[in-house]
Amino acid sequence: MKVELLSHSPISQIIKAIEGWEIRDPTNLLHHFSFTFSIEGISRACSHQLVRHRLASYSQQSQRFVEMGKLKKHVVVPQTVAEEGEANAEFQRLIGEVQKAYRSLVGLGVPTEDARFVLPNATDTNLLLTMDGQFLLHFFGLRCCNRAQWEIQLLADSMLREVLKVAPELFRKAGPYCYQRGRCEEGRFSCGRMEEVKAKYDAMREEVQKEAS
Amino acid sequence: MKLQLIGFTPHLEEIVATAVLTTTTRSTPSKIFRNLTRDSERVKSLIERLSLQHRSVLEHNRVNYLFEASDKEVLDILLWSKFFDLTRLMGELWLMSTDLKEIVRYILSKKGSMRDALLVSMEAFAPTMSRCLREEL
Repeated sequence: MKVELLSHSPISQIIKAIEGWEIRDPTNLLHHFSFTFSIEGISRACSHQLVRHRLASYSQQSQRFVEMGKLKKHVVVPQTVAEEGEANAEFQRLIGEVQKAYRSLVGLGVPTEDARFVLPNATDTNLLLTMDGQFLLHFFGLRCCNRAQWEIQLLADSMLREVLKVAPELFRKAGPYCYQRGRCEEGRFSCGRMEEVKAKYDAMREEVQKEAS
Repeated sequence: MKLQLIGFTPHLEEIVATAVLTTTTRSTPSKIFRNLTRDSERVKSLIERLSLQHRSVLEHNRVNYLFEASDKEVLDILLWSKFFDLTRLMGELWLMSTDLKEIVRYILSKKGSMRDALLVSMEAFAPTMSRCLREEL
Protein backbone atom coordinates (compact mmCIF):
# COMPACT_ATOMS: atom_id res chain seq x y z
CA MET A 1 0.00 0.00 0.00
CA LYS A 2 1.24 3.47 -0.85
CA VAL A 3 -0.52 6.68 0.16
CA GLU A 4 0.52 10.14 -0.96
CA LEU A 5 -1.15 13.51 -0.55
CA LEU A 6 -0.99 14.99 -4.08
CA SER A 7 -2.76 18.29 -3.57
CA HIS A 8 -4.61 20.26 -0.91
CA SER A 9 -6.22 23.66 -0.41
CA PRO A 10 -3.81 26.53 0.31
CA ILE A 11 -4.92 26.72 3.94
CA SER A 12 -2.78 29.57 5.26
CA GLN A 13 -3.49 31.68 2.15
CA ILE A 14 -7.25 31.32 2.71
CA ILE A 15 -7.04 31.94 6.46
CA LYS A 16 -4.95 35.06 5.76
CA ALA A 17 -7.54 36.31 3.25
CA ILE A 18 -10.28 36.20 5.87
CA GLU A 19 -8.16 37.52 8.75
CA GLY A 20 -9.94 40.17 10.73
CA TRP A 21 -13.35 38.57 10.49
CA GLU A 22 -14.81 36.61 13.35
CA ILE A 23 -13.38 33.14 12.93
CA ARG A 24 -12.48 32.05 16.45
CA ASP A 25 -11.17 28.63 15.51
CA PRO A 26 -9.90 27.77 11.99
CA THR A 27 -10.95 24.12 12.56
CA ASN A 28 -14.51 25.42 12.02
CA LEU A 29 -13.48 26.04 8.40
CA LEU A 30 -12.31 22.46 7.73
CA HIS A 31 -15.17 21.84 5.28
CA HIS A 32 -13.75 24.59 3.03
CA PHE A 33 -10.43 22.73 2.54
CA SER A 34 -9.95 19.67 0.35
CA PHE A 35 -7.26 16.99 0.33
CA THR A 36 -6.52 14.74 -2.67
CA PHE A 37 -4.67 11.45 -2.11
CA SER A 38 -3.08 8.93 -4.43
CA ILE A 39 -3.93 5.50 -2.98
CA GLU A 40 -2.10 2.58 -4.52
CA GLY A 41 -2.08 -1.17 -4.05
CA ILE A 42 -5.04 -1.63 -1.73
CA SER A 43 -7.38 -4.58 -2.18
CA ARG A 44 -10.83 -4.31 -3.70
CA ALA A 45 -12.08 -5.51 -0.27
CA CYS A 46 -10.61 -2.31 1.16
CA SER A 47 -11.87 -0.01 -1.60
CA HIS A 48 -15.41 -1.40 -1.11
CA GLN A 49 -15.26 -0.23 2.50
CA LEU A 50 -13.76 3.10 1.48
CA VAL A 51 -16.51 4.04 -0.98
CA ARG A 52 -19.13 3.62 1.74
CA HIS A 53 -17.91 7.05 2.85
CA ARG A 54 -20.13 8.93 0.44
CA LEU A 55 -19.07 12.53 1.02
CA ALA A 56 -15.90 12.05 -0.95
CA SER A 57 -14.81 11.83 -4.59
CA TYR A 58 -13.26 8.73 -6.08
CA SER A 59 -11.59 7.97 -9.42
CA GLN A 60 -10.69 4.29 -9.35
CA GLN A 61 -8.78 2.14 -11.82
CA SER A 62 -11.40 0.46 -13.99
CA GLN A 63 -11.43 -3.30 -14.48
CA ARG A 64 -13.45 -2.69 -17.66
CA PHE A 65 -10.68 -0.70 -19.33
CA VAL A 66 -7.57 -2.11 -17.66
CA GLU A 67 -7.01 -5.76 -18.45
CA MET A 68 -5.59 -7.73 -15.52
CA GLY A 69 -2.04 -8.95 -16.18
CA LYS A 70 -0.63 -11.61 -13.87
CA LEU A 71 -3.16 -11.76 -11.06
CA LYS A 72 -0.61 -13.33 -8.70
CA LYS A 73 1.35 -10.06 -8.84
CA HIS A 74 -1.79 -8.02 -8.23
CA VAL A 75 -3.28 -9.41 -5.03
CA VAL A 76 -3.18 -8.26 -1.41
CA VAL A 77 -2.54 -11.21 0.93
CA PRO A 78 -3.72 -10.71 4.53
CA GLN A 79 -1.09 -11.44 7.18
CA THR A 80 -3.33 -14.11 8.77
CA VAL A 81 -3.12 -15.98 5.46
CA ALA A 82 0.51 -15.24 4.56
CA GLU A 83 1.81 -16.42 7.94
CA GLU A 84 -0.02 -19.75 7.94
CA GLY A 85 1.55 -22.21 5.51
CA GLU A 86 -1.51 -24.27 4.68
CA ALA A 87 -3.79 -21.22 4.41
CA ASN A 88 -1.29 -19.47 2.16
CA ALA A 89 -0.98 -22.51 -0.10
CA GLU A 90 -4.78 -22.70 -0.45
CA PHE A 91 -4.97 -18.94 -1.14
CA GLN A 92 -2.25 -19.07 -3.79
CA ARG A 93 -3.80 -22.17 -5.41
CA LEU A 94 -7.13 -20.38 -5.79
CA ILE A 95 -5.49 -17.22 -7.17
CA GLY A 96 -3.69 -19.41 -9.73
CA GLU A 97 -6.98 -20.97 -10.79
CA VAL A 98 -8.72 -17.62 -11.04
CA GLN A 99 -5.85 -16.25 -13.11
CA LYS A 100 -6.18 -19.22 -15.48
CA ALA A 101 -9.96 -18.80 -15.74
CA TYR A 102 -9.66 -15.04 -16.36
CA ARG A 103 -7.04 -15.49 -19.12
CA SER A 104 -9.09 -18.26 -20.65
CA LEU A 105 -12.26 -16.13 -20.74
CA VAL A 106 -10.38 -13.20 -22.32
CA GLY A 107 -8.84 -15.65 -24.80
CA LEU A 108 -12.32 -16.88 -25.72
CA GLY A 109 -13.28 -13.34 -26.65
CA VAL A 110 -15.22 -12.47 -23.47
CA PRO A 111 -14.86 -8.69 -22.93
CA THR A 112 -12.72 -7.68 -19.93
CA GLU A 113 -15.80 -6.04 -18.40
CA ASP A 114 -17.33 -9.52 -18.14
CA ALA A 115 -14.17 -11.59 -17.55
CA ARG A 116 -13.55 -9.48 -14.39
CA PHE A 117 -16.56 -11.14 -12.75
CA VAL A 118 -14.25 -13.99 -11.66
CA LEU A 119 -11.67 -11.70 -10.00
CA PRO A 120 -11.43 -11.88 -6.18
CA ASN A 121 -11.73 -9.20 -3.48
CA ALA A 122 -7.96 -9.58 -2.99
CA THR A 123 -7.27 -7.99 -6.41
CA ASP A 124 -5.33 -4.77 -5.94
CA THR A 125 -6.50 -1.38 -7.15
CA ASN A 126 -5.37 2.25 -7.42
CA LEU A 127 -7.51 5.29 -6.89
CA LEU A 128 -7.56 9.04 -6.48
CA LEU A 129 -9.51 10.14 -3.41
CA THR A 130 -10.61 13.64 -2.40
CA MET A 131 -12.22 14.50 0.93
CA ASP A 132 -12.81 17.79 2.69
CA GLY A 133 -11.17 18.34 6.07
CA GLN A 134 -14.34 17.98 8.11
CA PHE A 135 -15.23 14.65 6.52
CA LEU A 136 -11.64 13.46 6.91
CA LEU A 137 -11.97 14.02 10.68
CA HIS A 138 -15.06 11.78 10.67
CA PHE A 139 -13.29 9.19 8.48
CA PHE A 140 -10.33 9.11 10.90
CA GLY A 141 -12.74 8.86 13.84
CA LEU A 142 -14.23 5.65 12.46
CA ARG A 143 -11.38 4.03 10.55
CA CYS A 144 -8.38 4.70 12.82
CA CYS A 145 -10.36 2.90 15.54
CA ASN A 146 -9.11 -0.50 16.70
CA ARG A 147 -12.48 -1.94 15.67
CA ALA A 148 -11.86 -1.08 12.00
CA GLN A 149 -10.61 -3.83 9.68
CA TRP A 150 -6.78 -3.91 9.51
CA GLU A 151 -6.34 -2.74 5.89
CA ILE A 152 -8.59 0.30 6.04
CA GLN A 153 -7.14 1.14 9.48
CA LEU A 154 -3.67 1.09 7.93
CA LEU A 155 -4.96 3.27 5.09
CA ALA A 156 -6.59 5.76 7.49
CA ASP A 157 -3.37 5.94 9.56
CA SER A 158 -1.33 6.61 6.40
CA MET A 159 -3.73 9.35 5.29
CA LEU A 160 -3.62 10.93 8.76
CA ARG A 161 0.17 10.93 8.67
CA GLU A 162 0.02 12.75 5.31
CA VAL A 163 -2.32 15.53 6.48
CA LEU A 164 -0.36 16.00 9.72
CA LYS A 165 2.63 16.93 7.57
CA VAL A 166 0.81 19.85 5.94
CA ALA A 167 -1.78 20.95 8.52
CA PRO A 168 -0.79 19.75 12.01
CA GLU A 169 -2.70 22.52 13.75
CA LEU A 170 -5.98 21.92 11.88
CA PHE A 171 -5.77 18.19 12.55
CA ARG A 172 -4.46 18.44 16.10
CA LYS A 173 -7.38 16.38 17.41
CA ALA A 174 -7.52 13.92 14.49
CA GLY A 175 -7.44 10.20 15.18
CA PRO A 176 -10.02 7.61 16.24
CA TYR A 177 -13.06 9.04 18.02
CA CYS A 178 -11.69 8.10 21.47
CA TYR A 179 -8.65 10.28 20.68
CA GLN A 180 -10.80 13.14 19.33
CA ARG A 181 -13.38 13.13 22.15
CA GLY A 182 -11.56 11.65 25.11
CA ARG A 183 -14.12 8.85 25.42
CA CYS A 184 -14.94 5.67 23.52
CA GLU A 185 -18.36 5.44 21.91
CA GLU A 186 -18.19 1.79 20.93
CA GLY A 187 -20.03 0.66 24.08
CA ARG A 188 -19.69 -3.08 24.75
CA PHE A 189 -17.54 -3.43 21.61
CA SER A 190 -14.87 -1.07 22.99
CA CYS A 191 -11.31 -2.41 22.74
CA GLY A 192 -10.70 -1.02 26.23
CA ARG A 193 -7.26 0.26 25.25
CA MET A 194 -7.82 4.02 25.13
CA GLU A 195 -4.53 4.90 26.82
CA GLU A 196 -2.60 2.76 24.34
CA VAL A 197 -4.47 4.37 21.43
CA LYS A 198 -3.74 7.86 22.77
CA ALA A 199 -0.04 7.03 23.08
CA LYS A 200 0.00 5.69 19.49
CA TYR A 201 -1.45 8.86 17.96
CA ASP A 202 0.62 11.18 20.20
CA ALA A 203 3.70 9.28 18.99
CA MET A 204 2.58 9.62 15.35
CA ARG A 205 2.44 13.41 15.79
CA GLU A 206 5.88 13.50 17.34
CA GLU A 207 7.32 11.37 14.52
CA VAL A 208 5.80 13.58 11.83
CA GLN A 209 7.07 16.68 13.61
CA LYS A 210 10.58 15.19 13.88
CA GLU A 211 10.61 14.20 10.20
CA ALA A 212 9.57 17.73 9.26
CA SER A 213 12.34 19.35 11.28
CA MET B 1 -23.24 40.34 -5.63
CA LYS B 2 -19.45 40.36 -5.57
CA LEU B 3 -17.18 37.37 -5.94
CA GLN B 4 -13.46 37.35 -5.17
CA LEU B 5 -11.30 34.28 -5.72
CA ILE B 6 -9.04 33.76 -2.70
CA GLY B 7 -7.67 30.25 -3.19
CA PHE B 8 -7.83 26.95 -5.03
CA THR B 9 -6.10 23.59 -4.86
CA PRO B 10 -2.90 23.86 -6.89
CA HIS B 11 -2.32 21.89 -10.15
CA LEU B 12 -6.07 21.70 -10.56
CA GLU B 13 -6.19 20.69 -14.24
CA GLU B 14 -3.27 18.25 -13.73
CA ILE B 15 -5.30 16.54 -10.99
CA VAL B 16 -8.37 16.34 -13.25
CA ALA B 17 -6.21 14.74 -15.96
CA THR B 18 -4.70 12.38 -13.33
CA ALA B 19 -8.22 11.27 -12.38
CA VAL B 20 -9.00 10.53 -16.04
CA LEU B 21 -5.87 8.40 -16.53
CA THR B 22 -6.18 6.66 -13.14
CA THR B 23 -9.44 5.08 -14.27
CA THR B 24 -8.23 3.96 -17.69
CA THR B 25 -4.57 2.95 -17.30
CA ARG B 26 -2.50 0.52 -15.23
CA SER B 27 -0.24 3.29 -13.92
CA THR B 28 -0.58 4.70 -10.39
CA PRO B 29 -2.05 8.15 -9.63
CA SER B 30 1.19 9.47 -8.10
CA LYS B 31 3.25 8.50 -11.18
CA ILE B 32 0.62 9.85 -13.57
CA PHE B 33 0.48 13.12 -11.62
CA ARG B 34 4.26 13.57 -11.61
CA ASN B 35 4.45 12.94 -15.37
CA LEU B 36 1.58 15.32 -16.09
CA THR B 37 3.06 18.17 -14.04
CA ARG B 38 5.96 18.08 -16.55
CA ASP B 39 3.73 17.85 -19.63
CA SER B 40 1.30 20.75 -19.90
CA GLU B 41 0.43 19.93 -23.54
CA ARG B 42 -0.79 16.46 -22.53
CA VAL B 43 -2.88 17.96 -19.72
CA LYS B 44 -4.39 20.43 -22.16
CA SER B 45 -5.25 17.72 -24.64
CA LEU B 46 -6.83 15.47 -21.96
CA ILE B 47 -8.95 18.37 -20.67
CA GLU B 48 -10.04 19.32 -24.20
CA ARG B 49 -11.17 15.73 -24.86
CA LEU B 50 -13.17 15.57 -21.62
CA SER B 51 -16.85 15.17 -22.14
CA LEU B 52 -18.57 17.73 -19.98
CA GLN B 53 -21.41 15.25 -19.50
CA HIS B 54 -19.21 12.92 -17.45
CA ARG B 55 -18.01 15.23 -14.75
CA SER B 56 -16.99 13.16 -11.71
CA VAL B 57 -13.29 13.73 -12.45
CA LEU B 58 -13.90 17.46 -11.89
CA GLU B 59 -14.58 16.85 -8.18
CA HIS B 60 -10.98 16.41 -7.01
CA ASN B 61 -10.41 20.04 -5.98
CA ARG B 62 -11.76 22.95 -3.96
CA VAL B 63 -12.12 26.60 -4.97
CA ASN B 64 -12.55 29.30 -2.31
CA TYR B 65 -14.15 32.73 -2.70
CA LEU B 66 -15.04 35.76 -0.66
CA PHE B 67 -18.69 36.22 -1.53
CA GLU B 68 -20.58 39.43 -0.89
CA ALA B 69 -24.29 38.72 -1.22
CA SER B 70 -27.69 39.21 0.33
CA ASP B 71 -29.31 36.43 2.37
CA LYS B 72 -31.66 35.77 -0.56
CA GLU B 73 -28.76 35.32 -2.99
CA VAL B 74 -27.06 32.93 -0.55
CA LEU B 75 -30.29 31.00 0.00
CA ASP B 76 -30.77 30.66 -3.78
CA ILE B 77 -27.36 29.00 -4.08
CA LEU B 78 -27.88 26.71 -1.09
CA LEU B 79 -31.26 25.58 -2.44
CA TRP B 80 -29.82 25.01 -5.90
CA SER B 81 -26.87 22.84 -4.82
CA LYS B 82 -25.82 20.97 -1.70
CA PHE B 83 -22.19 21.16 -2.84
CA PHE B 84 -21.65 24.86 -2.16
CA ASP B 85 -20.35 25.50 1.37
CA LEU B 86 -20.87 28.89 2.97
CA THR B 87 -19.66 30.38 6.25
CA ARG B 88 -20.83 33.86 7.26
CA LEU B 89 -17.88 36.14 8.05
CA MET B 90 -19.98 39.21 8.85
CA GLY B 91 -23.21 40.78 7.56
CA GLU B 92 -23.34 40.12 3.84
CA LEU B 93 -19.81 38.75 3.57
CA TRP B 94 -19.33 35.00 3.25
CA LEU B 95 -16.55 32.48 2.73
CA MET B 96 -17.80 30.26 -0.08
CA SER B 97 -16.24 27.12 -1.49
CA THR B 98 -17.15 24.44 -3.98
CA ASP B 99 -15.52 22.19 -6.58
CA LEU B 100 -14.99 22.60 -10.31
CA LYS B 101 -17.84 20.19 -11.14
CA GLU B 102 -20.37 22.44 -9.39
CA ILE B 103 -18.88 25.57 -10.93
CA VAL B 104 -19.23 24.05 -14.43
CA ARG B 105 -22.76 22.86 -13.64
CA TYR B 106 -23.71 26.37 -12.45
CA ILE B 107 -22.22 28.06 -15.50
CA LEU B 108 -24.02 25.69 -17.89
CA SER B 109 -27.40 26.02 -16.23
CA LYS B 110 -27.66 29.61 -14.98
CA LYS B 111 -27.38 33.10 -16.37
CA GLY B 112 -26.44 36.38 -14.69
CA SER B 113 -23.65 38.09 -12.81
CA MET B 114 -22.78 35.09 -10.62
CA ARG B 115 -22.26 32.88 -13.68
CA ASP B 116 -20.13 35.55 -15.37
CA ALA B 117 -17.98 36.01 -12.24
CA LEU B 118 -17.46 32.24 -11.86
CA LEU B 119 -16.47 31.96 -15.53
CA VAL B 120 -13.95 34.80 -15.21
CA SER B 121 -12.48 33.25 -12.03
CA MET B 122 -11.97 29.91 -13.83
CA GLU B 123 -9.27 31.46 -15.99
CA ALA B 124 -7.00 31.49 -12.92
CA PHE B 125 -7.35 27.83 -11.91
CA ALA B 126 -8.69 25.97 -14.97
CA PRO B 127 -7.76 27.95 -18.11
CA THR B 128 -8.29 25.10 -20.60
CA MET B 129 -11.66 24.15 -19.13
CA SER B 130 -12.65 27.81 -19.07
CA ARG B 131 -11.87 28.14 -22.80
CA CYS B 132 -13.83 24.95 -23.61
CA LEU B 133 -16.81 26.25 -21.64
CA ARG B 134 -16.79 29.61 -23.42
CA GLU B 135 -16.86 27.78 -26.75
CA GLU B 136 -19.79 25.69 -25.57
CA LEU B 137 -21.86 28.65 -24.31
